[in-house]
Order: sequence, then C-alpha cells, then structure tokens
Amino acid sequence: MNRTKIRNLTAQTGLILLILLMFAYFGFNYIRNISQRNIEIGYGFMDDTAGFSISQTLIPYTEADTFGRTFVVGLLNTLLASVISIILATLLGFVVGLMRLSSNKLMSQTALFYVELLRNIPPLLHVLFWYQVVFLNVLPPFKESFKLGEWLYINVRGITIPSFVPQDNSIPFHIITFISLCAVIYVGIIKKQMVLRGIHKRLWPWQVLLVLVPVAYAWLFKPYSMVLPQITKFKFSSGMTIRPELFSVVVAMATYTSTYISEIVRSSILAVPKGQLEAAKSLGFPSYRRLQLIIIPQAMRTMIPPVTNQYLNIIKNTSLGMAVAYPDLTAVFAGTTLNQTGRALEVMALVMVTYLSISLVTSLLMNWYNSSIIDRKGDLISKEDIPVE
Amino acid sequence: MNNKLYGRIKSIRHDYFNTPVNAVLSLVMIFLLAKVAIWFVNWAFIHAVWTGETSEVARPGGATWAFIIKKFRFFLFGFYPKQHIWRILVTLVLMGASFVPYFMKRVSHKVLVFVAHMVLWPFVIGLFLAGGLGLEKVSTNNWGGLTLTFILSALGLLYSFPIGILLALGRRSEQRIIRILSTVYIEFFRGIPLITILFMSSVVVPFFLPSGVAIDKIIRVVIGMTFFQSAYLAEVIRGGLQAVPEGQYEAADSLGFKFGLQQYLIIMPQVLKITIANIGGISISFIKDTTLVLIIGMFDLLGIVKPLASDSNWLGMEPEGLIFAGLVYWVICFAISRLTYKIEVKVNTLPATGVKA
Repeated sequence: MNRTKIRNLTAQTGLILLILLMFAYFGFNYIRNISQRNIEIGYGFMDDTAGFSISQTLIPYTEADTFGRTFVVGLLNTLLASVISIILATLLGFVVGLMRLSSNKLMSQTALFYVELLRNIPPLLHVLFWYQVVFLNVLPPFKESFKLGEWLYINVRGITIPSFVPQDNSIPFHIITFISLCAVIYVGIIKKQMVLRGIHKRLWPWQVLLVLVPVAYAWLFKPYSMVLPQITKFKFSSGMTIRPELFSVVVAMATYTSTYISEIVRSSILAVPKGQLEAAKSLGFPSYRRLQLIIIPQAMRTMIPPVTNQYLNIIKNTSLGMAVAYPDLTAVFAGTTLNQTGRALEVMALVMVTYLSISLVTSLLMNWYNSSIIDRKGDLISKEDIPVE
Repeated sequence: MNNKLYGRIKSIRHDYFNTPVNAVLSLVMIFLLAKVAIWFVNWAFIHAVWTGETSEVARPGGATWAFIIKKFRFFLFGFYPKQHIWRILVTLVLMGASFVPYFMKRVSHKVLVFVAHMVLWPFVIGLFLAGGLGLEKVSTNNWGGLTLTFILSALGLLYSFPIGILLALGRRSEQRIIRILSTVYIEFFRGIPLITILFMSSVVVPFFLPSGVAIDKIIRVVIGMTFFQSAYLAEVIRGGLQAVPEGQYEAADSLGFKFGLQQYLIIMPQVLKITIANIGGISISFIKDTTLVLIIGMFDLLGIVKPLASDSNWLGMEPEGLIFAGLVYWVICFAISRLTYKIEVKVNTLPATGVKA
C-alpha cells in the first residue's frame, strides 16, 4: 500500500468514528434525559387511546381510536391533498406554459404576469392567503351562503356539494366505467398510431359512443343516489363538504407549483428542435396534432425529471397545511400526537421515514414512467415501434 | 407622425388580433383583466383608508392601510424594544459594510472575506441584537419582523455554502465511505419537509444535549435550516462540477496542482460561474422557506401578521397584513432574481478563460 491509500483509509475510518461518537453522545444524552422524565422509549404508545378528534378523516375515526390510527388518518390526508394538488398543478402548469408560448401577446404576457407574481411569494403565504383572506374574510357566513340552486353552497365553513351514495348495482357500474375508459384510451392509442402511419380515419365517434355506455347505464339504473345538502339548524346534515383547510392547501399548492411546472413545460417545448415543428407543418399536421404528436412527446423527455422534483415538492409542501390546521401527517401526528404523548424522537423519526418513503415511491414511479417512454439511448420508444415502410 | 401611428396599429394588430380566434381571446382577456384591475384599484387605492387609530376607520370594499402604517415598526423590527432599535440598524450597517472588501481590487483572496463573515457575523449579531458587554440584554423571543427574516436567511445562506460545497465534492469523491455518507446526507435532507427539521430542532434537539446545557432556539433553527439548505446547495454545486470539462481537471493535474488548490483556483471559480442562476434561485427559495418558522412560534415578517391583527384595536386586519407581507417578499425575491440575472450576464461577458472545446 502506498501512502495516499493509507492516508485515505485513516481519514475515512476517522470520519466514521467521529460520526459514531457523535451519535453515541447524543443517544446517551437522550436516554438520560428521557429516563429523568420517566418516559418509556419505544413505539408502545401507538396502541394507546388517542382521545382527540380530527376535523377531516378519510377512514372512520373516533376519539376512542389509537394513536396508531391517527398516523394513518394523517397520512391519508397528506396523500389526498398531495394527489389533488399534483393533478391540478399539472393541468394549470401545462395551460400556463402553453399560454406563455401563445402567439397572442396578451395571453403570453398574462401568463408571464401570473408566473412572476405567484412564484416570488412564499408558499406558506399562499396557504394563509386562501384561508385567512378568501375564506374567512371574503366568503359569506353560514346563514347567507352563496347558493347555486340546491346543489352548491359556498360559505365560510367550506364548499358543500351533493354526496353520492352507492346503491346495490354500483359494482357493475364501476366495472363498466372502467372497461369503457380503458377502451377510450385504447382507441386513442390506435388513432395516434394510425396518424403516425399516415392513415387518417375518424375515430372520435367511437370514443363518444364508448363514453355514452356508462352514462346511459347511470341514467337508466341509477347506481348512485344523489343526496342534496340539507340544512338542519346550524349545520349541513347531508351532502359533502370540502373544508376550507383542504381547499386552501390544495389551491395554494396547485397555483404556486403550477408556476414552476409552466416554466418547465415552456422550456422543454422550446428545447425541441425547430426543424421538428417545421417538418410537422410541411407534412400538413393541424396545429393541435403538431403539439400532440410531434412536440409534446419530445418535450416530455426533458420534462419528466424536473416535474418529478416539483411533485416531490408538493408532497413535502402539503405539510404547510399545518398553519391552517389541515389535519395532515405533520399536523396530526407530529403535532397533536407528539404533544399528547411527549415521544418526540419516536414520532419525528416515523414522520421523517414516512415522508422519505413517499418521496422514494414517487420518484420510482416517475422513473418507471420515464423509462417506459424513453429507451436507454434517450430516444422516444414510440419512434422505433413504427415500422419503416 | 401618421406613419408612427400606423406602425403602432399594425403591430397591435399583429400581436393581438392576427387571427379571429386570437381576436376573440384578446377581447375576452382584456375584459377580464380590466375587471380585476378596476376592482383592485378600487380596493387598494380609491376606497382605501390611510389614517386612523383603530379598525373602526375601515370601509367596506377598501383596504385599511392605516393598520400597516401604525404597525410599520413591528413589521420591520418585531417586538424589539423601541429604545434599542438603533442596535438593529447598527448591526445591519455593519453587515452591509462587511461586503465592501468584495469590491476591493487589493483583496485577492475573497474567500478569506467569506471566512471572516462566518466568524464575525454571529458575534456582531450576538453582541448588538442579543446584548452583552454593557448593552442591555434583549431576549431572542422579541426578535421578529423583517429583521428576523433577514438574520435567518443571511446566516443560513452563509453557512450552507461551505457545507454544500464540501458535500458536493464528497458525493463525487473516489473514497467510497465519504461518497456514501454525503449521498445519504443529501438524499435524507432533500426527502423530508423543512417543517419536520424545524420540529426536530425545536422539540427533539433539547433532549440530545446534556442536562443544564441549553442552546437558544434561534441558533437551533439556524443550524437546522443550514443542514436542510446545504443539501439542496450541494446538488446545485454538483451539477456545476459535472459541467466543468474533464480537460480542466487534467490540465490542473498535469500542472501539478494538489486537490485543494486545484479546486480553489481552477474548478470552483468555473463552477460558481456556471451555477450562478441556480444559486440565485435556491437563495430565493431559502428566503421563502424562512417563513416556516411561524409554525414553531417565531414571529418573522409573515408570522408577525397574526399577533398584530390580534391587537384589540385592529381586529380582523389579517388580509392587509398578509398582502403587505406578500408584497415585501415579492419585492425581495424579484430583486434577487433580477440581480442574479445581471450577475449572470456580467460573468458571461468576461473574456473566456480556459481552452476552447
């Protein structure tokens, strides 16, 4: 062994020893501090009765349930807010990104204004703005709800819409809907392949027909019964209410992140070589087909990694909902449960591991999607699928 | 004159009404934008109230800027005692003055100035803001407003830079253990929300200290934010390192530079030049992230809105407070993004160094 190697080895061993020593020191202090306060160490508290209520739950939950269940409730609320925010942010981001590329100057300038205005304001302020300003100050009180017929009520306490209660025949309805959706997507794929091969045939009537099947089924057999919101005394006794906390978090995250996604969309589209657009034009594709078939698939390749980062940001940023008491993982578990049990380290470790796992799963999913549209050389797969005739 | 007018009309027609679809879109957009703009001007200026002592002066449909004007001191300095505010100003002037050496030609190793900042700023802040050496002590609980935002961002950015650079180098190191440790650090801090780190530093960290030892909350928060920020900075710097051509390393090696000098004189200057836009972006997001301290009960520029609007004289003034805070953040972030753009342009117009590819 030469001298450099020995030096490297000692440096690395020293570093590891240092880190182990640091952890040991903190661990020693922790155990001593904890035992002074007579708190047990470990996750035994997860089976104890929680005894506090949560304002929004996706699964049945009462005060008699355990702390373990509060974790699940919080996690589901985090996932709910994240999924809705991601969908909305993607849609908004695409619209704004395409608007910025519009040949209409007013459109592109408005989109630029939207992006510059929203992304220079902290996301937490977005959340507080929607909650404090829009919900608590602009919307009418409960008694003077803004009404749209019998179906929609908007007031300080949220947005109430009819709820749909599944009937006995809802299962075949789900199956039919699923099949018809798959068929619609399949027809779309066929259509794309045909266009790329130069065959032009109208297929959209088939798609409309396929969509009409579940609609007709719903019309005829009524698999769901709609329950209109009913007011009894001071609250709604039926109907579904979207609470202001959820609404604020979702709208704030969607608008804030859409500014970043729109920039990604714009720059990815601009990164597609100009010759591609010109070639598509000279082949006579109409403008929306140019975008759909030539530009966006190629832009997608540069788009996915940065968009994945934005999705991860959304998942992490939904924890800001805590400021408006949205009962997500951080607020319920790292907030209330931590305060009730005093198991700071255990709770925080679990929360961190959970966020890390969600991030990991999301990036794995996006990587899988990425590799499904791009082969190893970085070319789009669909290009090679098409036989050269 | 006529020609000019004609040209103007022609360009408007070309930009806004070039196709029937665009014409309709433009008209709809103009209508909507005008509506929003008129409403906003009415609310923010025409029906607004600028003077008054309580929230009773508020008018429906108008903003109550009197609240902001009355509470302006708190937005800037938090609950810092009025007779001591000069100390904040002195601190800011000193910190501002410490940037002067960067612009002096005689100082050839600017990195020493940076190290001096890292050593001296905490002392200046500690001495003047917290008190000591004859100055009356002011609890850090009273720090707040824009001052707190500034201190958190300045210290966080200051310390995350060297750590970020070390982590980036570590992640590219040939020594496996260092590489693994850096990667784990970076991916861990990038995978969890900042709020969990703030919780850790406010709730869990006191348990890690030997009994009797207490570190002030603001220091714990700065350390936590530095950990978080340095992971993101490391990724930016790593991107820059990857963009430096291999030939630069080889040239430095063949000239006999050791690793440290090679990085200091040849690689890092190029990396910083390449990554300047991303560093600007990350600084902006860091400043925006400092707002999260409101969740652990600190009163930065955003966090102070709520206590100020809970004043019995000014109940229900959150909208004005939030919008004012938003405006300040917007101005700061927008200014930084413009500044980085200017620096980027300036740096890129320097005579090209190194070998042309």
